[in-house]
Amino acid sequence: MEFIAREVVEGFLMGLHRSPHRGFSAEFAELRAYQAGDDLRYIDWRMYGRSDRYYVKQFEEETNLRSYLLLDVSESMGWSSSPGTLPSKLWYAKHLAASLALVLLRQGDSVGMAAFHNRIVDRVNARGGRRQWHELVRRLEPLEAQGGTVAEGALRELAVRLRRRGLVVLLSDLLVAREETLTALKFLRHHGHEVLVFHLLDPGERELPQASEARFFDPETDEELLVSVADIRAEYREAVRGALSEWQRDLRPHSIDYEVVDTDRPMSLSLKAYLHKRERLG
Amino acid sequence: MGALNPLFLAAGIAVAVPIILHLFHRHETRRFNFPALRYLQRTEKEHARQIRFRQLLLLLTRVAVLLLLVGAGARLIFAGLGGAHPPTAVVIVLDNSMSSGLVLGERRVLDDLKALAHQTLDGASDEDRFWVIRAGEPWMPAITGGAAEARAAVDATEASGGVGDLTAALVRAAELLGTAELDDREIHLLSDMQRTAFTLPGNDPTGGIPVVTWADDDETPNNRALTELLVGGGLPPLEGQRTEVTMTALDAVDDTARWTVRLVVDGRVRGAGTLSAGAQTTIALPATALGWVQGHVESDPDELRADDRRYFAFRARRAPSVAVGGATGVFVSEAMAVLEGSRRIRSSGVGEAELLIAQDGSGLEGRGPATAALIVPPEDATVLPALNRRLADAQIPWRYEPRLETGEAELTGESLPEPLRGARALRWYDVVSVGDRAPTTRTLAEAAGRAWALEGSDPAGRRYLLLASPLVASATTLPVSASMVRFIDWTASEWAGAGSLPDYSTGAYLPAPAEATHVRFPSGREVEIDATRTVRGTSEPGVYAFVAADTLVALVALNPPAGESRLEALDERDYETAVGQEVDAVSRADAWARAVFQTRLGGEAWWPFLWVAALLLIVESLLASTRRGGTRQAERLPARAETSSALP
Repeated sequence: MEFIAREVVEGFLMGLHRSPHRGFSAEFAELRAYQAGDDLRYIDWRMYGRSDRYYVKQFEEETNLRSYLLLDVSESMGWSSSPGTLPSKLWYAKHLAASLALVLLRQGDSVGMAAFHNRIVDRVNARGGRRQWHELVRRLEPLEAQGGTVAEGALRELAVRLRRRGLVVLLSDLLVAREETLTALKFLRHHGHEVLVFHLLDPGERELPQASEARFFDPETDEELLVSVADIRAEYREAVRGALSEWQRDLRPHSIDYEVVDTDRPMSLSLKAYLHKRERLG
Repeated sequence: MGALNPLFLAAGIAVAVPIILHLFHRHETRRFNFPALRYLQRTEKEHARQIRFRQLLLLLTRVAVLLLLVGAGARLIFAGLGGAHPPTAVVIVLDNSMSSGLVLGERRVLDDLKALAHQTLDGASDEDRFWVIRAGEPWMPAITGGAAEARAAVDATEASGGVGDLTAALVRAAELLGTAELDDREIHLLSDMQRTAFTLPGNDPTGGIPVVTWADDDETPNNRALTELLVGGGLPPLEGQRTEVTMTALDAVDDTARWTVRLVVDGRVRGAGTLSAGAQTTIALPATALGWVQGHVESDPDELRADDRRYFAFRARRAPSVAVGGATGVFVSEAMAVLEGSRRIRSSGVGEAELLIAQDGSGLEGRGPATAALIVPPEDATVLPALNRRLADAQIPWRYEPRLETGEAELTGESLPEPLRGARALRWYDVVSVGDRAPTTRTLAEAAGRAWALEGSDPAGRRYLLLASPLVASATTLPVSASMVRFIDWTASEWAGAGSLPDYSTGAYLPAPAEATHVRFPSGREVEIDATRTVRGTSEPGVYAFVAADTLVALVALNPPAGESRLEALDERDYETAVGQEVDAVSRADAWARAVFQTRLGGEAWWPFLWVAALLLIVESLLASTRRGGTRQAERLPARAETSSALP
């Protein structure tokens, strides 16, 4: 995983960036007129001597961006339409998460991770540094697809725990309770987090298999459905397209970025989506 | 509808395959692990009705294609598409009776009927077998053969002056078809469907054989026809005697006009009168010389020419000499007096008389060599032995039994003389033969099944007439009726050798006089009389002359049958009764060709079946490709589902 993640990331470190948040750190940024309540330690006494007015010094905040990678490890994520040639969605998600973490850490950001299905199954607090990536990779590797997906609870819990504002990246196939998940994402956004959703999609989910009639069952719910595949193929394709469009339509008004990631697509393309998001954050 | 390859229709069972597959059969379904089941559920929910409709449409299309292919393979044939018919035995009953000579517009009815016959023959095949029956000439044998022979027979058919008995013709047609080896049989009845031509009820004369009949709905005109002609009230005039000719016109409801009739004797107009529908008129006939007289009464021509003229012929002769033997009674005496007063008979002695009226057999022993005898039995049965002895002495092989039958019985018999019609017997003796009956004996009248009047001749060739009842009012109604005079006159005329005026209609079988060798038809055609001594084929109205070498033996007038002049058509509602249960009436000439040969094979329609099947296959492909719309795109994707997630 480390090797693959490094390979993916090498070409995408397109330059560092600064924290968009200004604070009081070492590197001077500018002066501004004193206001009641400002810390007296940051009054620039020299300026007071020259101008007889109080100014306080402001510095570039050097603290890194806090990023949280939320990884869906529900049963459906372990599915691949062609195991011999295509990775499962979970495999793809784990490697994408590792790659993202590497990018973020190289930029000096702190990265945390949480894996969930019905509940949070593993969690790594956000930290910076090279050792953090190894820790993340070590924790990602053993994750296996299991359990159902009730994302709302897990996402709400994370929102409560992530006290500092940051970037939240959700990697999921979104085969979840739709409304509840939307509510949870909006909740994260409300708490000031930037949210980026990677919707992982196996190509076999876009197109039905070659069969005249088949019985399909959901590994998470064990529901079954007998379908005349030939009769429904075109309509199914439209239904998938419609579902993706609905996610896009419902997330955009809340400034939640949404990216569909086909698991037969190069992972670097997915990283581009992240960079695009990151550039907008400054 | 039929099929040239009917076994192929069994392949129609294949239609059940898509239906069974659609309704019952499910494929051996594979099971797929498929997390995105919610998208499938959503699709099913949103498109369920559309999918069902499309499946039904596909099912119907496939079933229709299979049916069409089966139909094409079976080589279905449809009668409505024309085409050939199976070999058929057809009897064309062509009504050429007198009424077929009616001219409507500018065409004879017979010409229209012949044109329809041609339509039948135009549609015939070489395998068809035809008979042509001319209903107006029942004595003619049916003309048999193929279409060519039938066409020649039809073309040669002319309107006869005879009556058309269509019921008899249909029975004859059915009998002919009964001998046919072909399975398909039809009768084509080409007639003006004159009501009088049928015997109603017909009791299904065709026995269920299909009959296609012409039912012309043209309105028939009023026919001014002469239906009856009587010379001298039925008694031929004697030499130098004036008489009269009475003629009757056909009654017609809508015709009140009067028209002229002319009496023509031996080629000269001898008188004229006027007639109206249903009326009678009388024209005086001047005295004629000794010998045969022929003539006719005619009216102006109308649409039906054949009944505008009626013929007569008689022999003006001397009054026959009659002698009386025994006490004949008042009725015979009075009749004799009347006839003698009107110079119809002459009184003479027994030896010279042409006729002897022998009461109780009296006078038989004194008859001359050519004296005929009318033998009247006694009222008193005790006299019978004497009568029987006289009969035996006169070599008349009959004797009267004293058993006296009583009751009231109308005189009947195929040869019943006109004067005896309507007469009744009240008491009569049983007349029995002695030894072998003489071959020349003929029963002229019967009463309750027993002989009442017997005609014969003795070994010397002298004719006699035996009556079973005495000529008294208590034994028969004849003496007290007006027919008594006519009976005596008829007997005198008949036995004097002149004969009365027979009333023959065209088509009748004419008995030839013994001495005649040939008969000359009205058209001038002369035919030798054959061994049957009967002249057939008397379709021409007019006077027929029986000749022996160059000597005229007798003249007989044949007139159109009065019923033929009634042009009233049979009501179409009576067709089934008159013609048969399987009758198909055609009223338009252009529909005739389609109506005949009812068991047509029809046109073969495999090619439209294939065309439509091909069209439906294209439709099916479009429908199927619509539902397989994503297949091509799916094929570009890596193979996955079959190998990935199918669970055991």
